[in-house]
Amino acid sequence: MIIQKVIKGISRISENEAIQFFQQGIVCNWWRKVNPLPSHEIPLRLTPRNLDWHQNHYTVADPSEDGEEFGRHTPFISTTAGTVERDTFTKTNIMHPAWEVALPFATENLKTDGYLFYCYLFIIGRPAVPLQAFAEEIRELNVYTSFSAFQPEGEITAKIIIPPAQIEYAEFWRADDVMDAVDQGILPTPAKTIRNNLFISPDIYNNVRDLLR
Amino acid sequence: MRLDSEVISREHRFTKGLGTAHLLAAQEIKNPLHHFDHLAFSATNFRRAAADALLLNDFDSAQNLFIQAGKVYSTMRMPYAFCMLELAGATEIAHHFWNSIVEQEQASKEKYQTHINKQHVYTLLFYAAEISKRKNPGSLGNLPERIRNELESARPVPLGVLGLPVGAYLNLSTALLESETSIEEALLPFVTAYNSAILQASASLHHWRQMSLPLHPAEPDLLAVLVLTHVALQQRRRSVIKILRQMPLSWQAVTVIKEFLRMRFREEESERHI
Repeated sequence: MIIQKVIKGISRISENEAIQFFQQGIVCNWWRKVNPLPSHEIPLRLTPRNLDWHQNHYTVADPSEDGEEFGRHTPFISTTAGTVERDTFTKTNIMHPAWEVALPFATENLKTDGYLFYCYLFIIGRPAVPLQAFAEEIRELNVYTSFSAFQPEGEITAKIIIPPAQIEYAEFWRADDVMDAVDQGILPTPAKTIRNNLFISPDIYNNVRDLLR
Repeated sequence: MRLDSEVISREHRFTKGLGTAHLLAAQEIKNPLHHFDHLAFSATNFRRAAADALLLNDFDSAQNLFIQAGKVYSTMRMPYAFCMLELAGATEIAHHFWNSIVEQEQASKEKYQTHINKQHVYTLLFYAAEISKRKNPGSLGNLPERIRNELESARPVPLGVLGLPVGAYLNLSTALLESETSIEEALLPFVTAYNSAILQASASLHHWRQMSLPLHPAEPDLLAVLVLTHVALQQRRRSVIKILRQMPLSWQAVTVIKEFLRMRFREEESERHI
């Protein structure tokens, strides 16, 4: 098992709402929709079909949910680790640090302010879609027979909830400040960082895989 | 093409600035691993910004950014630099990089540095397009042959954003060098992969308009292959445009390719419709 550090970008939330995520965890849209969550339905929703829809048909009307857009009831949570292996760069010619991938999602393509949540997830190194405890590592990029146009480098898909203990801190990013910085050829930095007192560090465990920064 | 030009402009501004910022950061960092990372981030962002500029019909900006990307990739000794420089039409810089690659490979005591092994498909394509037909190709020895033999064992390995196997690149370089081999057949996997990817990507209007795709609509990997093919074909008085005309492409693919070739070559035959 690997402990993988990831980033989750969320836009249009206040600092109080960010702090609430520290206390309650980051939940999937399905949970936000049906709160409280019917636990007996979890195994029925963590399916390869739904994972494919989460990745490739996020805004498509789902016939199994009365035509509701799939993203509104997805049991999955997209996060990113950047390019996890540097060797991949010599094959794809593309490499982004995790915050560069997460930031457009957190700021609606650099239009609004947003938060980056730094977390960790558990991965077991092979597909385990029905198992809530383990995130799915969408890393088999560019296999010719299973190419996905939407498959970004280093995407890690969490399930149902990222628990409070696995959320380390959050960064507040101002979109205007980001654009001003890059216009001057300067790497942008967050406007504020807030730490989670409920965080439990995974460092005492083995196999912690860091973000690409 | 139903892309949001405001999104493209904003992304262009962001990635162009990041390309510069990471390059400056690389120059200031002593740690070799972090230095490499920042160069990689820089090249990636310049590449993306250049592709964005193509969608914004700003070829001058695209040209400058492809050159910057090419220079950074060449700093990292990655033959993918040939693709970037050919997209920009920066042949002189590309030849300079070619000379340094040749010198390095001939001087090296080990056969190849494994971390750039697969990258030499781009060296072979550049050789086929630009070098092989020269009257004085220089003292290459059997370098192209050595590269090809080394890569044969890696035929199934996927490469690039489109994930085409090394074998597809080897077949194309063979076709560009030998008149008996069909260029149409060798080019088909590249065009088909791009066409399928574009169709899949554009089917989700949300992803497509927001450009939240690793594959870029003006995908440099595909466009570079077309440029190198066209350059090689020009020496046989043929055109890649004529070949593409015979391939069943989606209107999205046609739009991007046609516009790019028009900007890149700016000559009479680029005005022919595909």
